[in-house]
Amino acid sequence: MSAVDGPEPPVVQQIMVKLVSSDNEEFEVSMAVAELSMLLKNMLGDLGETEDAIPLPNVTGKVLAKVIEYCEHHQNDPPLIMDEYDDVPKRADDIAPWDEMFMKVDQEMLFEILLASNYMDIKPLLDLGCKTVANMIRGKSAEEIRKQFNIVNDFTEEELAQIKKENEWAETN
Amino acid sequence: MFVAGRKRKAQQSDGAAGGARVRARTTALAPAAAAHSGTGVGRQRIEAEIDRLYLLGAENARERQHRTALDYYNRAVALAKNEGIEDARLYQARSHALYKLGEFGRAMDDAKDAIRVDEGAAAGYTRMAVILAATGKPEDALAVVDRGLSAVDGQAAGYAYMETQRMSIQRQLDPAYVPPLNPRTDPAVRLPSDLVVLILCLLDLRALIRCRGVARHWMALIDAVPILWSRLSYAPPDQAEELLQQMPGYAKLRRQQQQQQQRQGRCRVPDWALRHVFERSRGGLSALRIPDGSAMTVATLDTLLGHRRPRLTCMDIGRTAGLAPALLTRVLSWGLSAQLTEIRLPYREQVGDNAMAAIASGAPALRVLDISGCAKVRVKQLFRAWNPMLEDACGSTALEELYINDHPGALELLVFSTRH
Repeated sequence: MSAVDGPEPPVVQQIMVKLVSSDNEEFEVSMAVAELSMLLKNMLGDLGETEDAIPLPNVTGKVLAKVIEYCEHHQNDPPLIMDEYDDVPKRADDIAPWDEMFMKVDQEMLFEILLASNYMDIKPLLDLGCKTVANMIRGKSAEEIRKQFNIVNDFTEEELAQIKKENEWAETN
Repeated sequence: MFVAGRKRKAQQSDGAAGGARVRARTTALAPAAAAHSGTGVGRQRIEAEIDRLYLLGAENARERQHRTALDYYNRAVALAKNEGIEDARLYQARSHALYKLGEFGRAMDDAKDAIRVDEGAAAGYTRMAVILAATGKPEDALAVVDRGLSAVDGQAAGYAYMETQRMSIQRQLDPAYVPPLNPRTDPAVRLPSDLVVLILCLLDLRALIRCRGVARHWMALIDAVPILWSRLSYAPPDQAEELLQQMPGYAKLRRQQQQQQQRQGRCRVPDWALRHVFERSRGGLSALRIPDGSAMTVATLDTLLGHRRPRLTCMDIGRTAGLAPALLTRVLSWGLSAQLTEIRLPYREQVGDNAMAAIASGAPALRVLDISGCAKVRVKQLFRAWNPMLEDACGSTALEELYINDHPGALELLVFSTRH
């Protein structure tokens, strides 16, 4: 007797794809997950169904695991509808709670994820990464931005005075 | 009692795991704990209170309310002192607030206290060095930083920033010193420039101008990309603003605020900033956005009008953006062109039939028109303005989206659209 009544979930024959990171770590993901990456989608389209593992020489295992985590969570999202006229600057404050938690990583990892999503061509993840970095910049003074990213202030005194004069408007409020 | 004991144990194991701050706290805590044995629960409550005050202070510091932050930190330190707790974290935080308030002497004392309590208090060393460098003693500052760099664990939170400060001080000593770029944490170095541009595209004008002042390579990068400057957007639309909008009576409240702001000229974008925008965008200004909460003044507009006509494709004037009626007409007559594809003028009382006629003839390629709540626009007139085009081109006018929410003629439009 089973505790759960109701129809058995239909068994879907999932086609799995093998991915290999730059440090030879192997991952197995379903086709639906892999196809969130345009790079993989195109590759799989060319290769057809394949048993061979697909190498991703630009992505380390640690980063790839994170990218796959994102893709698995978002595999059932409706595809983005691209509007060719859409030149409206994207809002940067509409990050979903799960995505925000997902992006709570150290700075190095954040940049790695950005680079990987760019390389693997995963548009929503790239957008998310860009928004996260933009949010780290927005509302901060130049000094706070320097502190955030460990950047040395290399302006001369005169240049700084000029910038300060110019930026008075941007710094207040 | 049992619970308190367990908590303390957990804290100690935390300290052993490596957090330098936690470690410093627990060592200071041990003798005091012995002295106060029997008041474990009360003590736990006080610790929680100290944490609460510290977090409140940190929150205020983030909001740049350093005076308020200092207040919280003072209370936290006093409370901790009463209990015999020495917490490097509190001293560091208070030192930062004092530094921001210009009280270098007291900030210095707190930084020293932080280091006394915790050898690995990175922010303590950094604060000391920054104060020394700011008061004309860069040699001493360098010595402090070097002491800090050897004492603090390389993986600790403030270590990288200490390194950055060291380079800044070195530059102060020797202006010819060129600091190496930080490839690990600096996005402008770490990421390819197309990604950096994608990120910068998400910023408003104010943030973009601040970014120019971060470092030379940031300025060079930002100034070299016209597309970053091609959208003139005032203040960023604020999420809080949107929530507020749903409140009744909001519009009136907002209008009052705006009039006040306009008088004070707070939201005014200075002429040099506009010149920046025009120069960097190489005349390719493509969008003018005055989102909710910002205000455009005559002087700003004059600078705009003084510039040769940009290739505007979008004009978006927020519902609560401050813009005098006379200015709107000028903006419209200046901005209308065959390239314009999008106009949004929601809730503008002064937009009437004349303005619609001007838009219809002046912007033939218009795709999106938002005149929600513009009660003065009569739907019949609206059709008359666009109808010739509709008929000429066999109904293939460029206009694809028309927003007339909250409009008395919305029903009429429904009838119209079913008829055509």
